[in-house]
Amino acid sequence: MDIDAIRAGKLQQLSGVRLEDEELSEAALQKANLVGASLAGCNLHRAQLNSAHLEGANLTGCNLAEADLRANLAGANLIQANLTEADLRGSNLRGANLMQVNVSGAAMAGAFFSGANLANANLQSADLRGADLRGCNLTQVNLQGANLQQADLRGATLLEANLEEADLQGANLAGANFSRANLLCARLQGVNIDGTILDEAYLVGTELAQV
Amino acid sequence: MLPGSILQKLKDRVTSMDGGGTLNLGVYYKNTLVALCHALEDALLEADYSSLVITAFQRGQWYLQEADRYSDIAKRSRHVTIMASADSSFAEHPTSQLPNVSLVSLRDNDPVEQEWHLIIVSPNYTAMVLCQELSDADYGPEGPPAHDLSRKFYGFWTFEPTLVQETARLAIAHIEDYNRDLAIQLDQHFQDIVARSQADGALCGVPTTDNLGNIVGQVVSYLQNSYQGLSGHAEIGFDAYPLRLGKNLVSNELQAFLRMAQLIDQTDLSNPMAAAEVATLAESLGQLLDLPAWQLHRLRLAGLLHRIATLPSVTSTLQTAAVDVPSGEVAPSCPLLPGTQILRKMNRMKAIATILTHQSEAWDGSGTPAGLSGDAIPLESRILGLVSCFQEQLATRCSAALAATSGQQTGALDVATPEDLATALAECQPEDSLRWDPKLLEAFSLLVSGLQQGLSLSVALPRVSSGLWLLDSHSDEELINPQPASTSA
Repeated sequence: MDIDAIRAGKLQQLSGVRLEDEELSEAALQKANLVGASLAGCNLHRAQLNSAHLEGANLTGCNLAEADLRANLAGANLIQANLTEADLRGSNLRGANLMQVNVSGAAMAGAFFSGANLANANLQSADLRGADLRGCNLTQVNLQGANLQQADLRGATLLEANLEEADLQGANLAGANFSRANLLCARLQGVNIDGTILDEAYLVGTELAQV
Repeated sequence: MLPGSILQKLKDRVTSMDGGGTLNLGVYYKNTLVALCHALEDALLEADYSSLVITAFQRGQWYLQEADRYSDIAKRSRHVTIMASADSSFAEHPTSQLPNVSLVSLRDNDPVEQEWHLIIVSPNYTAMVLCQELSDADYGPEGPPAHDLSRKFYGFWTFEPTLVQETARLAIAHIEDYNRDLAIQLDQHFQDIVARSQADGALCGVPTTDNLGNIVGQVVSYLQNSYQGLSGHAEIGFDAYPLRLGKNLVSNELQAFLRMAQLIDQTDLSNPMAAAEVATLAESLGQLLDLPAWQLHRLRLAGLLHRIATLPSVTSTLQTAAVDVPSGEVAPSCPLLPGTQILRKMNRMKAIATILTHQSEAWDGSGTPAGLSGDAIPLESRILGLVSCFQEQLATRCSAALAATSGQQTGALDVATPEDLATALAECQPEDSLRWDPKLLEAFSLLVSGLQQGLSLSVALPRVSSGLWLLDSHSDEELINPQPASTSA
């Protein structure tokens, strides 16, 4: 496989390709077809993956820091990937596995995460404005200081999640489970909390006002 | 929140106000509070504010650690009141014996015993830290931290005169339960200060570069020193440093700037949502131009802070006539705007400071301060210049409608009619290609026509206690005259 050609964006049809542990930082992979590809352990730092097809791809342990990932990542496997400051605005991450990923400081406004598994992920200070997180597994995630304004968290599981100082203004929390979650000084103004479970949640200093 | 605590009483007071205000509470480590309080207190030593200072120290022993500093503070203050639960030698320290220092020994079941207050009221400077410690149960399954500096508090700090004065009133009422004579004496001082604060020339509600700006700069420096000092505390443990305590310090540096910007908006009744609206418009324009996410965040933050660049100094505020600048004189190099210099105290504000400095440049090179032209002007500066000019025009057009709204969170975009939007844009259009970048003006016209057709932008007031999502690794970039790129790049 010609890695240099891939990095330069000369090869676009890469579905099912196996490229494990390769050096692909700043690779030009816009619109590339990487459906079902295995890129586990690759260094994709600052890679251009906008509009790429990564459905079902294996990105386990990849370094995707500052990468442009405004792509289709439905069902992709991103376990333990590094996504710090990555651009995931409007990305399709439905059903993706994002367990233990580090997404701190990433831009994920308007991204679609429904049904994704984000257990133990680090989403500290992430921009999740208007993100669709319906039915997500967010058990023990770190969302400290994250911006979740207008996000859709219906039916999501946030057991023992850390939401300290998070901004949930205008979010939809109907049916979400916040048991033992830390909501210290979180902003919960204008939220929908129909059927929201807040058992043993830490609500000190939380500004809670329902719509 | 503990019932009967000052924080709870203030929250009740604020939520019952018109429009149901909020206090925007945040989380603070003791480490942060120490640096913050030292900065706000030491500002008292810099100028003759003749302030009234009311503090709550939880335990007498914490006061004793600060008692020597408080001796200096008392010398520059009208009166200092210290509330704490009585420890053995609490009253014996020489500071406690000073004629203008009063001690209030809190009873065991008083909720104020769990609070940390610093309330400073004077005609030219108001500031406050109002926090409450987490209860053992609130710490969660991990329980309270082993190290004192990692103890957690929640609450807020502010320079807003109305909030600080309201809290001073509540604190004096609390003191009345312990010492009626002292409360009467404090109330007299307080009433006199409030009267003076409303007089012309009082600076407590007037943000300036050299009064409030200097204090904000001092807060940032003290927090930075504390950050550097953290490495000396190996005993806090890897877990706490730098991840938790350090982040909390950086968050508060940013908060200091956001609070200053907030005060600028609050004191401008004709355009009270300028920062939030400019930030939203600038970010939306950036989205239309398909800018990367980090640039949009930078644009948003620059929008929130854009008025700091044009902050006046005390001298210019007090002068009635405008200062004459000899027309023949041209500055030899790019002059430094005092407002943006305050931002430069924080390294991660470098890019923002540059953006704000050049927001008044013109596309044809006729602008200030450096006479940059075309693409040499940072893109964010070009966007911000255009958007803030439009927003200002819009606020002027909508002044009647704005004055009619009692709610605190109503801005020009909320009340503007399609005609108002068209007129505000028309005011900008004659300067196409002169002052404004033609490509930007074209894209912005599209955005405005969207607004005219009912596109609604969500203008949320910034959450000052957690703005870290707006900072990233691009925040300290040099936007003009970059360093020579390394060969590997």
